[in-house]
Amino acid sequence: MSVTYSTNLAVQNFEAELLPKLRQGDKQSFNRLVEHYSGPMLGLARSIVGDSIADEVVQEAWISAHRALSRFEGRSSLKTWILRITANEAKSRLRRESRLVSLEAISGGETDVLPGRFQDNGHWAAAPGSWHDESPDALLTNHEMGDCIERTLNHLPELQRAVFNLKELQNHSFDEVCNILEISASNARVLLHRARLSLYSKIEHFQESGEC
Amino acid sequence: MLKCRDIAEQASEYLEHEMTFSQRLQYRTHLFMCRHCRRFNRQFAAAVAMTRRLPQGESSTTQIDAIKQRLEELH
Repeated sequence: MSVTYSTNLAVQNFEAELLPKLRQGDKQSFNRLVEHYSGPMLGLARSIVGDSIADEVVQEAWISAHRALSRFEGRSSLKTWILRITANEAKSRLRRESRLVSLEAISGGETDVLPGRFQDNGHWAAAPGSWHDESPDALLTNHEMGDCIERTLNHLPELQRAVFNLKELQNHSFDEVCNILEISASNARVLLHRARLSLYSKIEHFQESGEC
Repeated sequence: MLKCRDIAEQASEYLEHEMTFSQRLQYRTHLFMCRHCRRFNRQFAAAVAMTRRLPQGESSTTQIDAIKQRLEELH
């Protein structure tokens, strides 16, 4: 059984047990929901608005979810629905602060693949160098590099970060990512690939120079 | 015929098995012929596997209590 499948099953069972009570306005069940889903919501909110106001976004999202619960139709899981409310809350917060201003910001900025690395004929201008160790485990044990990667992640454009958080760290499917962020499947794939290339470039730079 | 730039462009699709048989064959043919892209492909896969394991930041009990408190005020 795959991890994603068993995780989805656990979410389904949890929600199937809770939903009838939630619809009756049971406070304790709502508190259980808060305990279960605040972590993923906070991760998503941080990726869109940053650390400083993510808490507020999550609180607002819970208030909206609480008000709208009677209208939840079950077309997606409750978790996807709540994360979508969180994403909308975070995006409208960004818009209010005029930080999410253009289509370029939404699509993730840079369009070139690994800028400066290819010649006009499409061959490598600067080929990838050798790494000390290419195993993910070895890469993870380098704490300085881990910190560097986290900083790089925090500087990616908002939607790239949000897609990365949902797909790579929270293990959502592309369908769920599209549903939560209200973006097309092709856009989600492009955003994720750009995020991965940026992180790859940073790891490569760190491997070559020992610096972030 | 794929160029090295195409390999970098399509690396996620290859990794996620989202290519048709023919696209995958072209991709693998290029890898067979190009050692730079073989290295890139290997390193890219390692980078993706590594970054999937980054901590995603948990919510603290204090944060959850603050949310519950706020919701309590609404009742």
